[in-house]
Amino acid sequence: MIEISHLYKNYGKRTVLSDISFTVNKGEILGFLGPNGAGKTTTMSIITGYLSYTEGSVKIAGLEVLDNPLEVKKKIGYLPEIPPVYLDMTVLEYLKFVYELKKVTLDFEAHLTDVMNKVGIFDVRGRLIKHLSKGYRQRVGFASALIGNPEILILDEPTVGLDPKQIIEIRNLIKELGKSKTVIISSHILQEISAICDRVVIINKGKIVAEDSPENLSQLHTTKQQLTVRIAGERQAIKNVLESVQGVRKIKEVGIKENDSYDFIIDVEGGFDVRKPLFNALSSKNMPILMLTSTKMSLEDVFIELTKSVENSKGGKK
Amino acid sequence: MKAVFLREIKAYFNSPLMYILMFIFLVVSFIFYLMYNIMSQYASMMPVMYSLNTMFLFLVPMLTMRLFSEEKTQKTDQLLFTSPNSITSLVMGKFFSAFFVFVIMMSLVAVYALITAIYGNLDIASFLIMYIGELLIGASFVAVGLFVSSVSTNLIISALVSFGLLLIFYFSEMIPGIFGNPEWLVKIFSFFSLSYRFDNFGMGLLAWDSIFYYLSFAGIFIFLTIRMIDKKRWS
Repeated sequence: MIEISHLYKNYGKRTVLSDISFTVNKGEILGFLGPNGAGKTTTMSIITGYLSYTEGSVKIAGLEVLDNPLEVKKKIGYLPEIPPVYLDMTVLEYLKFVYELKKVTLDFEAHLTDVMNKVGIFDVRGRLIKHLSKGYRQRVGFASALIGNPEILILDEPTVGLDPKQIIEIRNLIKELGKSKTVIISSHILQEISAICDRVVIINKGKIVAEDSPENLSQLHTTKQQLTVRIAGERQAIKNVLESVQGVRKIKEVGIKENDSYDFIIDVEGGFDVRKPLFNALSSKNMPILMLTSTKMSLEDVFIELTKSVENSKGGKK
Repeated sequence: MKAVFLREIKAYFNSPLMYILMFIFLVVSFIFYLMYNIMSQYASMMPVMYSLNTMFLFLVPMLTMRLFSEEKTQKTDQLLFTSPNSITSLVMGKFFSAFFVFVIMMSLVAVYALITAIYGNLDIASFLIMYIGELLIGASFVAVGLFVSSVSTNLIISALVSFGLLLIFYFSEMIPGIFGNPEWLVKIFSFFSLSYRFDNFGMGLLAWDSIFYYLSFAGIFIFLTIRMIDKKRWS
């Protein structure tokens, strides 16, 4: 549905996007992840035709955005980072304006009521937007993206400024919409992305650093496995035993959490399962294991890892 | 175009600014009319028209300053420019909305003319020609203001810069005076002067070259507005 290949965007001499390529299939929810200033909003603005691009190609349903702006824009509902609402209008006036601006041919009454119910703003339809809270403005913005029932939704941080209950509502709505529509959603809340999205693209400094499903991403990067253990015994003796086990790379003390025991975090080398040898070594020295948990890398860790490594490699070049 | 036009008109009538501008226009234009026509028992609307031109030099920038500047500061331009409308049609919607308000203001002058026609001896033909000239000059003013608002995001700067630009274009035949009025320079600057072009209408002449000049002047600034918005997408 959306095909982006070798996309570059320069502002003067500054390159904001370089060699961005990904595709989004019909009916898929794609998460767009990256730290602030990574180029998420720029990429989204380009897909919606708000900004142009320096090089590459962006195709929506087979149509190049720059060559067919009007047809492409009809297919897209866009919610920018800051909802584009006119403060001097009431919610209904605003949505009516959007309806006319988008040249929608659906039944006016039914469509607007439907959209307002979906995002939960039917009760405030008569109020001036400037009197609404941030969360409600965000929802009005969301409603404007839904008007015209577009096939594609581009949502730039749609849950910012909402309270926890609203966040869950909007997430469920996005999931629901994702069944029939193609959705790109950007966020820096990782939990959100892993809850909603089928696939994640992580971008940093204008480059794609990873692209996969949330599960695969966290699995791929579990080469660096960690174990948290609590062992009863004497501190130095435990340490000596732990160091003797093959596959243990690094041991970090985390102090005493329970009487007569010590907690450690053990970095394990990739490919080793040290749990059995660890147990055997400790039990032979009569040091019982009180607790043993393995920490799998969450999407959060993956994200930090990936965005950090790019920074390091960049720093190295200088 | 229609949706934007109607929204802008609504926005004008929702804002106190327009009522203040209308009030100023009402009071000042009435004073002009009182002085030039009623007190001096004069039946031509020409002096009033010239005075109104100078007043529009600062009234029109205040009408046009918010057209695109406000869209940019409130980020609503993202809605407009991602909607299935060409930039040209959006710009034209904005242009006609401000021009429409200008026409509302000018309709008051028609009322003055009507009063003069009833109680005095108004040359209706020459008044109509002046009226056409006034509308054309208004369109040119609005186009300049529209262009400046597409460049600046700040309302005050937008208003001041359009006022400055209009001042230069309106009185440009006076600029050569600085250099001692060499004839060739006067000719060039008079050609571009918005007020010099108005003289034909003031004398009751329906001058086609002046009509053509004003229309192309407004057209060029509308074109520049479209180019400016399009350029911002690229840089």
